[in-house]
Amino acid sequence: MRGITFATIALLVPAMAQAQATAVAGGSPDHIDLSLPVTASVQAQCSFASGTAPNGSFAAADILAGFTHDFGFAMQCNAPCRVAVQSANGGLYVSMGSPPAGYANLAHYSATLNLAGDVGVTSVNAICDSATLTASAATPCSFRGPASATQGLKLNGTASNALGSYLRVSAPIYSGSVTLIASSAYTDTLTVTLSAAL
Amino acid sequence: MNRTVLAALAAIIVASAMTAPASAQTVSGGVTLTGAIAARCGTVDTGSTSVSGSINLGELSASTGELNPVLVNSTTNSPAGAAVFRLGCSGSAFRVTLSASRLDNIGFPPVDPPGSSVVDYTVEAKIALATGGFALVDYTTAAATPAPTVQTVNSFVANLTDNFDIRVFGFHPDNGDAALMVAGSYSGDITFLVAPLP
Repeated sequence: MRGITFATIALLVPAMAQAQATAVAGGSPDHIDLSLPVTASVQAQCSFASGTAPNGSFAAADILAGFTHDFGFAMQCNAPCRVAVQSANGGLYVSMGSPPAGYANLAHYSATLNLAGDVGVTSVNAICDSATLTASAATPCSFRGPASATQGLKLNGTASNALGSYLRVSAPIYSGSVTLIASSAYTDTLTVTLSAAL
Repeated sequence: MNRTVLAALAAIIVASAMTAPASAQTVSGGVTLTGAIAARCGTVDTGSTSVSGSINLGELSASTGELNPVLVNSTTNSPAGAAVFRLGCSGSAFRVTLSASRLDNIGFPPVDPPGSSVVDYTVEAKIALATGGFALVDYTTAAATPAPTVQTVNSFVANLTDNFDIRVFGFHPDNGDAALMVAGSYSGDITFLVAPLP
């Protein structure tokens, strides 16, 4: 067996690469030490679980009476992730020009974001006033969207279709000093974005 | 020399398998919120729907026994009595219905001249408007009870304290200003209804 020695090393890297190295040696010594660094990566991926993205609508029949509604969703993330929310109007808004003094056409509400991950991952929760969720908010909410690797409420773990995540919109019985103008056309749109947190 | 070359080749193959970079991706969902605020009027924004108050005119007669000239000569700008309220309406238009009963000597029937146990008067609702100025709604009592005054106001109510001013003036005994007032307690009622318009 002295002579030529073949050392065959098969390196299996799931879904990413497969490499094979062959070392050939002749003469003395009768073996070689071959050190090969083996590294690989799995791309961080995040998405809403199929059919569970936070979509839908809710109608507050009487804003003055207060309301609460949850939009549930589930995430499928193989790494920590961030979720962010952006409001189109900063509250329930009806277009009517400038309201007279003492009146308002924007009804604020609260947005609560709760993120749930896999078993062992600590859930996170935060709440912001709707006015701080707009793109132009001077003092934006901590989870004002859009989400990015560094922006949004962070779930520090994986989520494999974990249940329990929701976006809650709520408002107490109205007690503001200004009068909200009568209208059935108050509206707002919330965009929820999800990103891997790198 | 060959060993060195082949080992280096193996390392290169493995390294090439891990060049796919991890990257963050963003996905989104969207929710729509709608809401309504009904047109309403009340003492506060959330809706008490009745108010009450009183106007005490004190002694009606002068030393002559006739109705006090101060009451007879009172005007909208110098009323004999008033009661103020803070009312609000959420809409840009509302309707006021105003009526009153004669000031009557309680339990004493009407008398012939030169006496008098009934006094007619004018009641006026002076309503401050958000656009500035006032809306005036008048009603004058009479022996033949007039129909309530119904008046539409196409404006927001000024969101101010004491924005509804109910004032009484122009008092006249039923048998003429020279009639002698019958002693006793006099009472009348003023009723006003403020209703929102769609």
